[in-house]
Amino acid sequence: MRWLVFYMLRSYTASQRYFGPVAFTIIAVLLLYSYKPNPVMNSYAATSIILFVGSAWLGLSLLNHEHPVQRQVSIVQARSKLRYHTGTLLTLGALILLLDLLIVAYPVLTGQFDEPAGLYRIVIAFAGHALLGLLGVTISLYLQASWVSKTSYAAGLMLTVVILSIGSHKLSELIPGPFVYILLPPASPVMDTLMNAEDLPLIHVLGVFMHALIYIVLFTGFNLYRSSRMDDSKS
Amino acid sequence: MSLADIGTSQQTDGPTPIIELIRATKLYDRRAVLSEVSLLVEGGAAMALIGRNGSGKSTLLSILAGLTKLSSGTMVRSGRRIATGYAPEAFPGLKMSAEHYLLSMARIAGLALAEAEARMAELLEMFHLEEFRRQRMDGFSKGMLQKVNLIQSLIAHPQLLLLDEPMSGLDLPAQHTLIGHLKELKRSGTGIVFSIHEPQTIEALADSVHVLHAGRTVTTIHGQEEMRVTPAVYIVCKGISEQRKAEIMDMPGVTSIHALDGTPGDYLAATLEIAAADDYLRHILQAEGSVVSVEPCGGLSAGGLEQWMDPKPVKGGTAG
Repeated sequence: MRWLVFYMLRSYTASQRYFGPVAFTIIAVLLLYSYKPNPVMNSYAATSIILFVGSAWLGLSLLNHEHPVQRQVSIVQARSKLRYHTGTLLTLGALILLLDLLIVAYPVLTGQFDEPAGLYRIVIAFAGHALLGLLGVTISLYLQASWVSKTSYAAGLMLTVVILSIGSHKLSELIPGPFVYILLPPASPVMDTLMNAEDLPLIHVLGVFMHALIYIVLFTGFNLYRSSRMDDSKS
Repeated sequence: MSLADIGTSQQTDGPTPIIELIRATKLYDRRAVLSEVSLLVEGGAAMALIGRNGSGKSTLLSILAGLTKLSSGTMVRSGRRIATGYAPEAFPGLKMSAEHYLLSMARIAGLALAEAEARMAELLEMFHLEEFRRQRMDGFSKGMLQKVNLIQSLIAHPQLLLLDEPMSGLDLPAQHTLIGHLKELKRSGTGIVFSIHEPQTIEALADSVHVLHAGRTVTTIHGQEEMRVTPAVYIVCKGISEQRKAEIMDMPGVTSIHALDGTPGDYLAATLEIAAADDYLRHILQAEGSVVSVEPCGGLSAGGLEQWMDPKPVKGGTAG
């Protein structure tokens, strides 16, 4: 599995498709911190949403970067589709955690905040960013070329889901019932929790994070299950 | 022995079955691209898939590789994870070096680093790609890409090797190299399935030919004698003394000769060039033997392979 992840990283970086999403994420974060001082948790809430959007884009570009024939060969060499898809997911997870680390550490190390961040807030911010990054990846899993063949449709759908997820709080007021809460990625609750983490009890913070984690595990697990049973064609 | 039988039998003599398809059907948009195809791939044997473009050869290979699911029918494998090498058609020019790519594939397939490097070096040298190993593949010619494609399929010592048009784009020396290496693999027990359009490759390599037309099996040809490209004749005779047998076996134009299994007495079956047939028959009669049968076999215009390269539709499905 380790070699599958190394290969995927090498192939993805060679394709240079990472440039768009990574540049977007870094530039947006740098713009946010272009003046200082900044409030700690409000800034982290904003950068977590940037990572959410960047991760969905990054996921889509990584999942689609291999030529279909190259992908067929990789699957056969990996000896199982499940192993191949798991390797791809681990690659994405590693990239997200790296971006997460950079985004959370940057303002602390460069003194962008109006007060010391403190270990508690840094840990909460790291976890929140990781969850929103993985939520972005979860969206991209369902929009990769083997699920949505037209790239333009996939890009449009991605934007729609991302925007609806960020605005899900308002949307849940318009649509009664648990549908919004269950179906849309819980990006908005995680962002709100990060913003108010200092005032919220830890149990509430953990509850919201657990909701996001369950969402990620369920939707990623279903995607893995389905992807392992789909045909891998040359086109 | 088929794989389906193994569960009910203790006998495992003879070639080892690797993978078997039973009445395999594949539908795309409710259109059958493969229909009721059955075949058995055995270790140490090579099966050629022939037929027109669009006859289902690539789909069949993709199914055997585990990339495409069957719509109906069964695929039985000898083990949960068979070491499989797969070289699809039209391998793309990747933005990484051949060396990085091949090492990655070998490591993903489970080879240790030292073994992966040694095997890669051996195959690169065999296909004369050694000097290009550090160059990015997006600058490679079609033939060079095909060589990389073949090397990645061979690198991890596969039990089952699936090749889609393996000769496509290869120069003549590389074709000979590949055939020689595939023969070695066969001897070491690898089962090979390949789609092909060149009769010469079939004659050189295949133990059986599966002819497809519009997704259906038209016929299956077994035995290398039936696949000869050059016209030949198959003669069965009997009643020749041991002393004269040796003389007949050494005759020019005789390509193979063996005692016929499953027949009474001293039946002798020979395949020989058509030009040598008269002389051979004369020798048999002079040796006081008797001729049992004389049949043409192989030959591009004598009921051999070429007719199956462009098979005609068969009413009611299968034929032959």
